[in-house]
Amino acid sequence: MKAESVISCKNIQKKYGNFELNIDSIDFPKGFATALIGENGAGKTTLLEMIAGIKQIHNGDITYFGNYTEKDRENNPYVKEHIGYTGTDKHYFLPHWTLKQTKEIQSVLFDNFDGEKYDRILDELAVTNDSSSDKAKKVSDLSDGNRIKLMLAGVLARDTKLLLMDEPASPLDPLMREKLCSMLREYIASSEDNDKSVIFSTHNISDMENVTDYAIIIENGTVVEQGFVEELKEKYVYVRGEKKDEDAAKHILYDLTSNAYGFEGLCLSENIDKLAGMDIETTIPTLSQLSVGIMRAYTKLKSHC
Amino acid sequence: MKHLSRMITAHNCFCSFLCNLVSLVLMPAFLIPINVIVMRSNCYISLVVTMTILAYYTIFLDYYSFNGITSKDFFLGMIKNSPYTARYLKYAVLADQIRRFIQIVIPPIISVLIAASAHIKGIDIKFLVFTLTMIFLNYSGTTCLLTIMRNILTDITYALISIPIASILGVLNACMMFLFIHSSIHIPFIIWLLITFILSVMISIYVFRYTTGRCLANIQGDLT
Repeated sequence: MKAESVISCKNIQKKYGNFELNIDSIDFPKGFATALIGENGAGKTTLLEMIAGIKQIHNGDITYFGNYTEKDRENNPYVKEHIGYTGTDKHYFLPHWTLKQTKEIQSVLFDNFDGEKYDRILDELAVTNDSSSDKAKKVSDLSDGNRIKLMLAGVLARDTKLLLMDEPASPLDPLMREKLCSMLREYIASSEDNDKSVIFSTHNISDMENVTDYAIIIENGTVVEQGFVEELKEKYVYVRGEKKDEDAAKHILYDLTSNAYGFEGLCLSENIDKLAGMDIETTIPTLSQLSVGIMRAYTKLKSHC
Repeated sequence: MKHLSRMITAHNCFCSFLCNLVSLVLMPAFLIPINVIVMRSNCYISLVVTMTILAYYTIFLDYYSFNGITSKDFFLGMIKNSPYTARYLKYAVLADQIRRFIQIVIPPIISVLIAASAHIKGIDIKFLVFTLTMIFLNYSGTTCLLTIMRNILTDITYALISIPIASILGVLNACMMFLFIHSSIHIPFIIWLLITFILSVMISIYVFRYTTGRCLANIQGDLT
């Protein structure tokens, strides 16, 4: 499947001490939800912050909405107006701000901010009810989950074309994660000409699977796999087999884990014929199995099984 | 009106309601009666004490509002994502300077008005010029010193430095009183008003440019 890009990253390089982010090319498809998946420290947050313009010094080029450069992002309000970013920064809203202030401040910071919609979303997410005491509540009094909801309400109350979300699901309870997925689905569906996109990083792959259209797996600062989830599920097969075949399968499987009863792991579909004659069971991998398998193949973790 | 409302919003983003309340209401309510009472003994000493307390307070208060804004590790959170970050910071810094000026103006001016209406001895043109000179001196002094202090985020360092720094202003206030009232000095007192006024204007412009420029430079560089 080929889609237009909402964001294109070319030859991105950024070095911090021993860590180096090195990305040849990523095209985030327009009109879809893209998940950035990777271990802690893989470079997901750095990449999202570069796209959002929070980290500005790096090599390479980022193109926005097909034709805006990073220079345009800083000089033309259109780009930032149409990007909603939610980060993991605890001080995204300064702690002494009241909920009422978060609304006032965002209405000054963003021309396309809709205060009434913001209040409605906060009510819907049960951060506030109609009482005035809730509006006087300070950001520092909110739980981590409610702070995420506050950020979410802020970006959804704007007329954006792209949501960049760094770990939005992590502090949320399972019910709210489901709600988040449906809100993101609604956001993408709300566009008539298919021009709303979401890019989010996550460790909660299973919970976010039903909202993920495109997946990018980053390990040690480089992209090790990317594609539409459906295509990736065709590219790989999940294999379970018996202990006796483990040694032979080890050389064919992309990634393998074993236990006392047998083995399981990812296999490239093109190699599945090489497993002929073995007593195996094959299934379509879930996004979680795909991601973990691919990450394990590239991880620097010393002991894994 | 739109700009004023935006300036207040931007200012209050850094300075809480409590800080505004203490600065613009409680502090004057505390200082004015004391100043007026002491004025009955000596107008000049009374004003020097009042302005020095105000200088200590202004520097202390800044720790709870704008402190650290020009330091590299200051949290600007959502402000960094806005297409209007520069405009927003300019509003905030400008509003802060206006608020500080009002905060410094209220106690001495109201005290002088009360003292004049109560016919307290020593309230003459020379004292009025001294009052204005002290306002400009303390405004330019605190603005200048806070610009240096705002690069410090660590609370212990701030506490250790703020006391001697505020004391510098206390000394300057006392020196200014000496220049006004000592009989051996023959410099026309109006000159100090002109000097402090020009100093205030120049420092205001410089500090506004420096603070907004530094904030933006920090945002455009790597913050983490």
